[in-house]
Amino acid sequence: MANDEDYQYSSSDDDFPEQQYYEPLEHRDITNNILDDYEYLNYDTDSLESFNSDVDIVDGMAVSHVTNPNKKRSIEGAMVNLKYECFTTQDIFNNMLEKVDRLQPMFSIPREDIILLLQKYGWDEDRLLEDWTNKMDGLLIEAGIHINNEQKELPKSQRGISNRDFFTCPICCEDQIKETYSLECGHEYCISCYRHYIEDRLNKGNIITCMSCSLALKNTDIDELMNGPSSEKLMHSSIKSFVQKHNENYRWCPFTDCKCIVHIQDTTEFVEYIRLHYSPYVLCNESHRFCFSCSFEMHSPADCEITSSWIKKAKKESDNLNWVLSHTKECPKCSVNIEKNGGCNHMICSSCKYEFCWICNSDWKPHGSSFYQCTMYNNDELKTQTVIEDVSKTLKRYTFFYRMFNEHEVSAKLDWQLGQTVGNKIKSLQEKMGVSWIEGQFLTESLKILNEGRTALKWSFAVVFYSDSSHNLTKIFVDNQALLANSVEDLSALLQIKSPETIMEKKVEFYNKAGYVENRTYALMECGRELISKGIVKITN
Amino acid sequence: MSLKRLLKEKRLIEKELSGYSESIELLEPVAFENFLKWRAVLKGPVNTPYHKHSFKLLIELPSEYPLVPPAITFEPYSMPHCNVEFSTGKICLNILEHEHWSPVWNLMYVMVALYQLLQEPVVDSPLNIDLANILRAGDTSAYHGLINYYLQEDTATH
Ligand SMILES: [Zn+2]
Ligand SMILES: [Zn+2]
Ligand SMILES: [Zn+2]
Ligand SMILES: [Zn+2]
Ligand SMILES: [Zn+2]
Ligand SMILES: [Zn+2]
Repeated sequence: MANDEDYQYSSSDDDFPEQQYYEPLEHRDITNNILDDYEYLNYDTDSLESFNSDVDIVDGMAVSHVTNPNKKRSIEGAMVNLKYECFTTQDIFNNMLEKVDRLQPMFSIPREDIILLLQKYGWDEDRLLEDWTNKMDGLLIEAGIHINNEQKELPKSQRGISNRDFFTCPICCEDQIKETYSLECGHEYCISCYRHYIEDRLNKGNIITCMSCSLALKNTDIDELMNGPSSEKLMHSSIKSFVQKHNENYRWCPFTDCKCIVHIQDTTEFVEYIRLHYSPYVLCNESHRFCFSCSFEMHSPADCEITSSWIKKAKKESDNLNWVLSHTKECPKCSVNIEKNGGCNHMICSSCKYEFCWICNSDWKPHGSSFYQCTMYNNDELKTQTVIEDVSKTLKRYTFFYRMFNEHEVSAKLDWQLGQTVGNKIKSLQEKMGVSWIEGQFLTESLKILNEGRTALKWSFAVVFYSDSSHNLTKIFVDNQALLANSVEDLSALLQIKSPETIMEKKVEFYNKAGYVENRTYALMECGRELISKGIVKITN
Repeated sequence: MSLKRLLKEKRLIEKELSGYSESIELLEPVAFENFLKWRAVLKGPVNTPYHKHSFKLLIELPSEYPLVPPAITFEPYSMPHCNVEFSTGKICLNILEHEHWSPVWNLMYVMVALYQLLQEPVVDSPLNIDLANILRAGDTSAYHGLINYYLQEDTATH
């Protein structure tokens, strides 16, 4: 896209030419370019089914082959060409079963036994193969598959359930037991004790053995005892511990309840990229973007170091400081309680219709003009300076930045909730306006851009907190923050529109504002990277 | 929790305890009607710095016992040992960890294992770093000296 040059960033200049790189865009006609960019929204029809649940479809795996300069840019601050795969434990387990099938002809022992061997070797096929060729029989005894000499002296027994008349179980000491279980070793216990024992160990991920000796319970034994596919649970926990053991190359998606695991085969390039303050962002199959290096959500313009220091500090300070971080606020005019139900900070009192800013509590009118006039981001250089310096000497400084960070986090969450209604909006566009699903995607796309912008804005406060406030580049960064904040608020307000007719009327406005947010997000991220690269950010805890 | 199992363990202990007079001085429920709390006293094994001392143990049986191991600690500030945290009496012994525990074991078995721990401290999993370091360095006299010092302190304050 034509605007690309404006954002190309060379770090060779020590003198920072502000206008060249971060010049405000509002006077530019970007409409055409942005409309061009949306041409790539040519989806396969099979991705149609998921639009209700998957807000983030554009980045979903189904369409990941689509390349778009705009898209690539929006995750700038990330490593380029990072190769990774996303799995679930089920996928990994299926891979393991394929391994078993590959090994079976070589080993010529039952599949269940190979699974036990692989479990013993932490699913490391190569190491197992090496030991297998060296000491087959020994290995089978070690893994508890064959009985050893000691066990041979025990009364021989059939593997499986037995029906008995007056058996006394050595565990619970109940007599008159009818059903028991034992392996070839002859250690026999009542079914109920065995079940409790297995149940207790299914989520540990280790091989479950006889309670008295090292003979292993196979998956078939477990399922027979438990009357169901319980061994699957054991396999999943075994895979989990596999992933934990290989945490260099595997990461759980950090988002709540997400079961995705991202795998990166080769992490050798990380060092160089991290030196340049790029983060290894990955996208799981549920469209959660996170940093592979620090397991946090996408945190640009902050790098991993700033992110972890900031989080540590927030944890440490949270007890000392009493923030009012609620979703409701009193109207500054009439004191009616107002609940915030979108990310937009432009509040309109339901009672007296007073329009005010959620963040600074003052009149919205000056905020509405082309520059974001909230005192928190006042673009006037002098004022910015004063705010930053005034608070720098006290804990207030941290409180201030944390509050800003938090406001945007709350807003991002509310925007996300807003996103749940986007699917419905698209539906009503289809029903009432006859708009095709693909045409309606500009809403989904706008929401995604809004979210990325919001997240970048949020983390930018961590960057400013650690930055040298006297440096010119910090001021430029704060200016860029203000521009992004302004554009984010505009887009957020637009997304609150409910009427399908109005939404379609404003379609071009959606494109414009979303495109603008995307540009501003990118600019802020690049400016942040420059700030960090030049050592203007100093971590002090 | 199986009451039958506990009753059987208690009967077994009453029957066999006399055979362990060298090592186990006492092993019994704290109260007649409560089988979930037990107390025990171990004797210091000969040829160890613990000889001629005895050590109190507190035992709590979780409701899932014997599926899960008993919770056992030495009396706080009474046991100077590589694998015992002095201030709490917490014991590091793998058979007492949930994942290594087997329901076929019982309190008697655990007592014997603890007695062995007094005979053979495990330097690799220390809860008392000072003692473990001295022992690792092979300084036997310093090791004995430090334990004696702890034990005398203990008798002095009681
Ligand atoms: Zn039983
Ligand atoms: Zn057995
Ligand atoms: Zn995820
Ligand atoms: Zn990171
Ligand atoms: Zn009002
Ligand atoms: Zn404001």
